[in-house]
Amino acid sequence: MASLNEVIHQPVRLRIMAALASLGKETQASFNYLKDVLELTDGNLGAHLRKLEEPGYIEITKTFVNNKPHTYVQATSAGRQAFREHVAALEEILNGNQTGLNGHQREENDPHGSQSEGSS
Amino acid sequence: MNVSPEEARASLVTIRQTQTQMKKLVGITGYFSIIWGLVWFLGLLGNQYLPEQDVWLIWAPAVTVGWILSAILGIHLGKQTRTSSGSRIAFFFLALGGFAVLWFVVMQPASWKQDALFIMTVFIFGGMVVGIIERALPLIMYTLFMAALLVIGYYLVPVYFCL
Repeated sequence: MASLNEVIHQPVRLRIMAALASLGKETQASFNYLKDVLELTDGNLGAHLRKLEEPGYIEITKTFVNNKPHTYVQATSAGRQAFREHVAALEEILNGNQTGLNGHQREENDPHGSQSEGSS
Repeated sequence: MNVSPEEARASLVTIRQTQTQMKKLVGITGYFSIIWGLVWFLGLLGNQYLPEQDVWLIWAPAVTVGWILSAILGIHLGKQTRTSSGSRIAFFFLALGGFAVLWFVVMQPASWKQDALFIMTVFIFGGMVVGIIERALPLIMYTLFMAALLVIGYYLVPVYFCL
């Protein structure tokens, strides 16, 4: 059973990992491009990238192109694996809810049923 | 960590939306196929219907425009993403091009159809190797299909080879 990842689950970081995981394994996205696609400020994106870099989910590369600094971001294998597990966990919750809903509907139709089950 | 089913659903929707946005970027690389597909379409039409000595009148401008448009698209894409294997791929194509020129000189193809088959299979081989380096299965399948089509066309329907 897959488990949720607290680092990745934060909404902004979830979108970052979703974006990076959709690129090829050898492909890096530029910081500015991520900022535009995800509609974030420099500071906001930078802070969340550092949070993802700490457990090794992403790799940040800083280079110079024509004497201008450029930053590129890439999901690591560990990051992709963690993201996949997190998505699987979310899907399990959703699928589990469908079963749960049926159970909940049964309880609504028979409100005393849950009490008798609880007492036994 | 407790996540409700509604939160799980919202997260999955967010993931799908973000990945759809990113696929639009990846889809831009399809423009390379469109550019070179048009170049080869025009060039091969010329091969099929123009006198042999006039074929270069189509190929020279078409390939030149193709390179210019590819460079513009490449520069635009490079501002957004880059591949860590980019320099390796570039070096590979340089080496492949040099190897192809050497073999062209040594083999001296007997006809323009053999010229076309050789040049096209070299580029297709290059594309296949890029697909392997980038682990891009669609590119590998596409280049395998094109290679099969070329060989079948050359041997089974030579009259329509360039089409």
